[in-house]
Amino acid sequence: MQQPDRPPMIVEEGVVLGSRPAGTADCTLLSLRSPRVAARVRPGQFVMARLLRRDFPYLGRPLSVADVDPADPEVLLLVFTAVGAGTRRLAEASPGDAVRLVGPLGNGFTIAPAAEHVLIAGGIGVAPFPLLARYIARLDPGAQRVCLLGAATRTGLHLAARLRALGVVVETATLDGSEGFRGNVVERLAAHGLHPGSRLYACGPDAMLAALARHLGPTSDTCQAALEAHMACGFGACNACVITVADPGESGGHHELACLQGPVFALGRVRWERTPPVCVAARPSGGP
Amino acid sequence: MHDASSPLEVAVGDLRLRSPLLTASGTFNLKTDLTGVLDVRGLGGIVTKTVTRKPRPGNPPPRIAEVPGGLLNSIGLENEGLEGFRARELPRFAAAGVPLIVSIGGDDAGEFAELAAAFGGRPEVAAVEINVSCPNVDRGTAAFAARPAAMARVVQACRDATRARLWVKLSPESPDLWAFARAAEEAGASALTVANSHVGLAVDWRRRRPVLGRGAAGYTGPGIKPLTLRLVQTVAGATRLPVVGAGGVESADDVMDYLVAGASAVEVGTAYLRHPGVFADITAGLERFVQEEGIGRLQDWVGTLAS
Repeated sequence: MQQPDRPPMIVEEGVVLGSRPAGTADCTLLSLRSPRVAARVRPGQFVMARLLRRDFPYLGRPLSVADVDPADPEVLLLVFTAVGAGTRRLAEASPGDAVRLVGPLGNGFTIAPAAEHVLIAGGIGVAPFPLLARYIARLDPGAQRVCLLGAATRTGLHLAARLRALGVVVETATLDGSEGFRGNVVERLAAHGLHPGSRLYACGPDAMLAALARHLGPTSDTCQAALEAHMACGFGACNACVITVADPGESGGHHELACLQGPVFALGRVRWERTPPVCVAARPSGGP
Repeated sequence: MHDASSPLEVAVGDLRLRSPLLTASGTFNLKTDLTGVLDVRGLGGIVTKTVTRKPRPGNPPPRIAEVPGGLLNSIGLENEGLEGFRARELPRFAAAGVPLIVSIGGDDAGEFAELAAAFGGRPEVAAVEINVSCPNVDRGTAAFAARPAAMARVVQACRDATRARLWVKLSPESPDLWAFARAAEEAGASALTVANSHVGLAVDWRRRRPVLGRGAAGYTGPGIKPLTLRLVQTVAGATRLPVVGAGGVESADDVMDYLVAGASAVEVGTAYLRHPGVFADITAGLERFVQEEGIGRLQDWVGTLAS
């Protein structure tokens, strides 16, 4: 069930201001003028984005809102990797192109005061973190903010400079050791250590989140994780984006929708064995 | 929005609708705040997702894949069952203030009849849509869509259980759909919804696997419109029952195409998933036809396709 204080979604025609690779070949940073969505979006929420006046892709693509430009609060920043033909088409958008946005969608991260805020990102899972880091600084000024940023190799590390510019301590980890810690981001978290006052936020591939849940054990109940799912609509109508979750004492679990009850879930509630990993070849953006 | 004399008003049999636009089963709910995006009271009616006797978990994700001309879906009739729907969802739909058509599904005629009885007698339910055509479940449906007699037994059982309006949603996969239409009519149907999803397949050739877990899945969207439009023409010509068109409607032109081909109203599904403002856009388009082209009452265009 949606949070009662969530404002209604908006359908808005955004205008592309610029699109550029975000430092690496497969990651795009798309800035859009979309005043009404930009004014309402909160960290961890997403939009459905679709280029207008094109027959393909037919459906919007769910994209995290990475940031709202502090210099121009009508401007949204979307960061994504082109995993299929649909996102590739979005990545090729030119300034002036119209994009239909439906949003802001979903329940975002909940921020509360903490000694330390630890943002744990795998690959493009870093996308929602600049806006989150900005809100944490606003709502819990002075608290330590750390982003543990992991990827297979250094070209998969995105947004590190942007996060550092926001005052976040960024610690990188790569499987091949090409930058930072050699190993995955969960191992990097183990090296970092956790304090009782740490507040955890995570976003990344399902395999990373599942490994993180195993590592955290019971603590995973307090870790907020943004999940990815295949969806057609983004607002609870298509029923495609089911995530299996279980509450204390519940065996087996039940379905909740990534778009309505998520995309942010308490990591400990997610039943990974009943939630098949998102397969890149099968996601909507991987279609023809 | 529209008064009783609105030119957009249509009728499906004796059920008057203020607009020809209905939501398609399984693509609409009221769990989201639609303020500013959709004026629910401007709809002709709401068709709910399919309700079964017991809760169903549906199929494992991924459940959708985009394909040219729309999408493939394999939701698998996930729903919270008769009791859960009646307790939690029916009151919300009833409060929407538009005719409510409850879609029912089941494995056998007995289950359909029980559901038809449960919903048919309720004042807030304008009609029951009998879903004998979901492509994404194992039991029952294949038989119902393969033989008119099997489908007719379901319709007859529902008719025996209730006097309510019964819309029968046919499968586009059925051979000789006109025969199904006539069998449904003889078994007591009040209207025919033409049609459910077509059936398609997307494969991931590198993995030598279907993209969606069950393999074949329901194909919906603008790509199926010409296929379903032809079925509407066929069925409208084969029975006296009113026909509700469903397949790829996303514009006011699409609505008029369906009406002229023989549909009394249309259901819109996939286009709404793509663009939640689509009902408002189509309504504005229809009003433009009325005001600027002087087309008169939509009702008068139904079934006027020159042969």
